[in-house]
Amino acid sequence: MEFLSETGFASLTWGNVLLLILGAGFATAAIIKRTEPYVLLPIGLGIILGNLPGTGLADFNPSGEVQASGIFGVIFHYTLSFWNILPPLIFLGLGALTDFGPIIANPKTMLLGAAAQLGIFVAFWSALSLGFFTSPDLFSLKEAGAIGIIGGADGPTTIFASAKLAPDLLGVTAVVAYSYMASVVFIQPPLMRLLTTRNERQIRMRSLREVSKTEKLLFPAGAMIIIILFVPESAPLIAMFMIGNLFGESGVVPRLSNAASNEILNIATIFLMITIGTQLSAERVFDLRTLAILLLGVAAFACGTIGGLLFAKMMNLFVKEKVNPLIGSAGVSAVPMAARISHTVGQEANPGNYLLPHAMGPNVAGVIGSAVVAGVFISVLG
Amino acid sequence: MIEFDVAKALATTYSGLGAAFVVLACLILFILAVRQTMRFRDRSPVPAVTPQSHSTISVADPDPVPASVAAVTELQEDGLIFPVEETTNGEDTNGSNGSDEAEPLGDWKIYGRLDAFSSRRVERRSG
Repeated sequence: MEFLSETGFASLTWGNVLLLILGAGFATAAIIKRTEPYVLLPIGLGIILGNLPGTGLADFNPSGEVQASGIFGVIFHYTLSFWNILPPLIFLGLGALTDFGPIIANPKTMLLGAAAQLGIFVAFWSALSLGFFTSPDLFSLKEAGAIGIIGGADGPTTIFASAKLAPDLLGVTAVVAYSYMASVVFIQPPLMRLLTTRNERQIRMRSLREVSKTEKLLFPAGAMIIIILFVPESAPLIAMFMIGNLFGESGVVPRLSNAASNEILNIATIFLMITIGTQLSAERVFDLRTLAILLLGVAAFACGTIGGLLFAKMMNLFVKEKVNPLIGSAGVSAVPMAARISHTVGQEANPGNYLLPHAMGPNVAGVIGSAVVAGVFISVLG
Repeated sequence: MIEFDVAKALATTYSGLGAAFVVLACLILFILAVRQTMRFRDRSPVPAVTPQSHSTISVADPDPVPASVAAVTELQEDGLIFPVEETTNGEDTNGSNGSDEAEPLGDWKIYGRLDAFSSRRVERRSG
């Protein structure tokens, strides 16, 4: 009997069981439905591990006592809450995989990436305002900032900002951000159809011009300098993103580019996703704050989509060459899902419409925009 | 009762949204500036060298100084290259034993690699 009381069964709570089911659900969706498998499978497995009682896998003992910390506790502490190096490493790989061609070919669509950051500020203010209806100290300014960044629809940026502003919320904000990113296919299309007319959705955009190699080399270098001069706190993300891109575009360091976009990105993803999953333990999840973050997250994604769509409609009042407002919703980041959705909804209205390359512009601009806003949040609130 | 610092929250909002628009607008200007510069460079006049223009020079001036020789002279005046007999006494300055590929250049020959000063030698072909 004494043995039984020391097994995990004895300390298993209903909260643990529910989260084990959630973790299994994520893993199943990844394996069977192929829904964001690179994100949902490791996170799902991490949630399962984090909710098996008595393992100590996610524990961290700051006193440095020998063998007192678990592997994921150590990874979480040193690569996220203490040094915060995994999100920039992921940005290095993303940069190597990114093509700035659509932005350079049609730069005005970059403004859509800024407009779609509206969701961040709606979620930020909503998180603060929730205090009126519940407890006045439900979320502090820093925590509201970390929640707001979910609206940037960019996983590494959310994790980077949360680790700096509110490490206790990191597991929840990251999982909410990635879950909604995987769900943009359900969140965005109804809003896109609601806020645009059929005629607007049918707008055909002229093919993008070919961008020279010189432009593709100058843009990341110039953008890195400009952005970091404006918002130095965004440097870890922006610098790595642009360096990764320059590796790829230069064409002279294929091994470095391949390492960034394959080995480094994959290794960072494995550690980041599993570790984030382990942070989603029952005692952290089942409280009013988590429920609030879930609601705020969906509001942030919806408002970001609305901001991009409406700004694209507004742009059409001033520009000679109309843009299809559907590409505005791609400004929320969620690369490349949001761009694909713009393309799909555009093709429903006009099967001959090919919006994907046009939507990639605001999509990539959204990544830059959310990293900039995260930098400002860290700078002002941190 | 408001429990949070409203002024700070407002400042965060203004700076965040403002920074996103300003930074991306600056990047747009940067892209346009690069594009304009490249267009300007592509449009800048480059004198076309055609067989016809070459023969015209020959007719107008029966003993024209070849452009390549003029360029070598200019480089010599600038001290960037020098005739081998004046400075090196025909020594093999670059250690190649005269095996460098020679490029005919009017009355001159340039030996060795042009990107390394020590390996440049110029001598008269006619001797």
